[in-house]
Amino acid sequence: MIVTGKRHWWQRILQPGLVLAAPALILYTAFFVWPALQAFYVSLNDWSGFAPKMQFIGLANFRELFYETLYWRAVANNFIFMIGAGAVTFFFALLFSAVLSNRRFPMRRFFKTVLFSPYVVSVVAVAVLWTFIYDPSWGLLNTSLSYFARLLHRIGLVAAEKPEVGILWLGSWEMAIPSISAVMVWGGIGFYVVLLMAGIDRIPDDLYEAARIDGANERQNFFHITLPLLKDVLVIAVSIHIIGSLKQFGLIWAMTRGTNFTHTMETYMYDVAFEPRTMSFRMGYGTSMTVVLFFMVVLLTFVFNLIMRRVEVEY
Amino acid sequence: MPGLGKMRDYIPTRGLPSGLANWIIFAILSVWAAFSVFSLLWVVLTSLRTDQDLFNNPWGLPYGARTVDAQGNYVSDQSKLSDEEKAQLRTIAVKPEWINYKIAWTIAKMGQYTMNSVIVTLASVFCLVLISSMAAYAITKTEFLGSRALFYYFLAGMAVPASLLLVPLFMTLKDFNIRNLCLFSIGDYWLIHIKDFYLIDSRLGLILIYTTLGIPFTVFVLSGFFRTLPSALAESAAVDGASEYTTFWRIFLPLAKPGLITVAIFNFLFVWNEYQFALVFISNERIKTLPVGLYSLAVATQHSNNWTALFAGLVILMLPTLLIFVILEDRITKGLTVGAIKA
Repeated sequence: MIVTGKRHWWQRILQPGLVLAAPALILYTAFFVWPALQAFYVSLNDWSGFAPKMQFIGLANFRELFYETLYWRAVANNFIFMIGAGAVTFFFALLFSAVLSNRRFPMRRFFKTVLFSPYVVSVVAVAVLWTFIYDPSWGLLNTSLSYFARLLHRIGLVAAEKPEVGILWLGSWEMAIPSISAVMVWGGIGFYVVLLMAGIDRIPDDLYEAARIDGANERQNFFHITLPLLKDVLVIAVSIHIIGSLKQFGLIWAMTRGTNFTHTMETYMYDVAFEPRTMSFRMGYGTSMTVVLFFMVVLLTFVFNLIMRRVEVEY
Repeated sequence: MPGLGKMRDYIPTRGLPSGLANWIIFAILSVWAAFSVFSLLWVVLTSLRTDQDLFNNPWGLPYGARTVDAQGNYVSDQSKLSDEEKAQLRTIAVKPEWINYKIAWTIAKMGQYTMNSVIVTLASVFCLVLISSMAAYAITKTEFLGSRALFYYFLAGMAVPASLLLVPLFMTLKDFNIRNLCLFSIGDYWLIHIKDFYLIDSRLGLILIYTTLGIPFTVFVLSGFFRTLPSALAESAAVDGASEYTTFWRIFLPLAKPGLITVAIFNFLFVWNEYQFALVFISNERIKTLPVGLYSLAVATQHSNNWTALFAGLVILMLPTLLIFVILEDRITKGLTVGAIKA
């Protein structure tokens, strides 16, 4: 370190590093950290958002939350999406990333591009696209099913004179949850495929060559080399999925706006705190939901990583 | 060494399903991809048709001939018509309705929304990359009190679901209204005079929010990038008498260009597609961003029934990011894995 002359007290504080970090530090503190801390206080208040003053009511928001069935329905939906859509996503993602890592697999680049492309498109676009596909009267899905039914009618399998399929894909909770899950799988899989492919590519070639010399077949290779060595990346991917499905908002809001009990935690929070049509503007109550969400995210990530660390890798 | 040539030819298949299983997965992938490509194609083609044409045959093309009766309604089943009615049937030609795009762009204000999105995205990405690279450089290449702690301070933001900030930010920004912001007065003259300086329901507020929301991720990725650059450069620059600022601006920033481009692309995608915060903080029609604009168009369409204009709006929202993705695919997918796997 070259010291030139005497340094003033302010020079010692205003070190170049701190000065360079200052803009980000100030913005981040003022508009990220401070609001995040404020949220915990706001959740203890009753506040309409337009009233000048908040009213401190202690934990009453959380108690109300605990007894509200619609909120628990939203939490349940989040977990259904997490587990249901997650299982399908990761099943196919593993399958696809395994074959697409093979440099000789036909059209692998094209498949990768197509699988990943929904990820770069706004969720609103994905939602609108799928409401078109799911439209009961002219949507792609029902019209192709009708076409298929007419085909069956022609060969005498369906008795109806003019079979028209008019399934309401988003019309009830039972239909909407699987339908939305399908959109989540379609939209989310590319990200995980790319991530897992990168993980598979990182595994050194020598391991497979050694295994090949030892006479291992492809299935053994996959289950005894690829999968165990992919564990770290898989843990990251599943963690991202867990957090992502707890934060699910745009897709559901743009597709159903939470109707037919399809609310998730964040759409319900938006509905309660901000939605002009609902006219409730209960911002303190809404914040208590996001506070619970915050603890869920932290806790689930922590627990999941703890469990995965316990799982011993054998190969 | 015997067999070396053969070894070089050998591409390890990483324990993949072989033979029949491979082809079954190939078939699944083909159906999946065909569906994706086809639905996109359907949206583009339908955006060039009329509503009536769409309802009559959802799978039709935006050109060709249609049979209509005297009133101009579509006829699907001719067998039920009387001879008189049959005589009145005529054929009309269907051409691509480019006017749908005009409607979406002007009447449905997608043009205005696009403009807003461009402004908000460019400004936030620029600010974000600039201040984050400064912070990342400070954290990794300079020593000051708490430089190590600062890294974890920024990192902590990645664990926070952004929705936690919605209400408090709304609360803060709502009170941040300055009717007349006047700076640097000389007598009666103001050098800077901003009337009605709002942060809620304003582009500036949105830019501020996006810049802040992106800081944890961007600082994290850029710190990782700066760490790979040799510190010896900074030391030799210091010996030559360069200040820390010069070293950052002239040496490290140019070297970090690949990393800067990667985070810029990511933040571009994030800001361009962001929906939740734009929905909460923007209600004025004139400053809505594209995703919120498309959402309000979709809501309006349920009453106005101009579906094909909504198709056109959807194309306007999707196409830019899809094009960018196709051009920069490798960069995006590589940057993505660097960001995620290093975490």
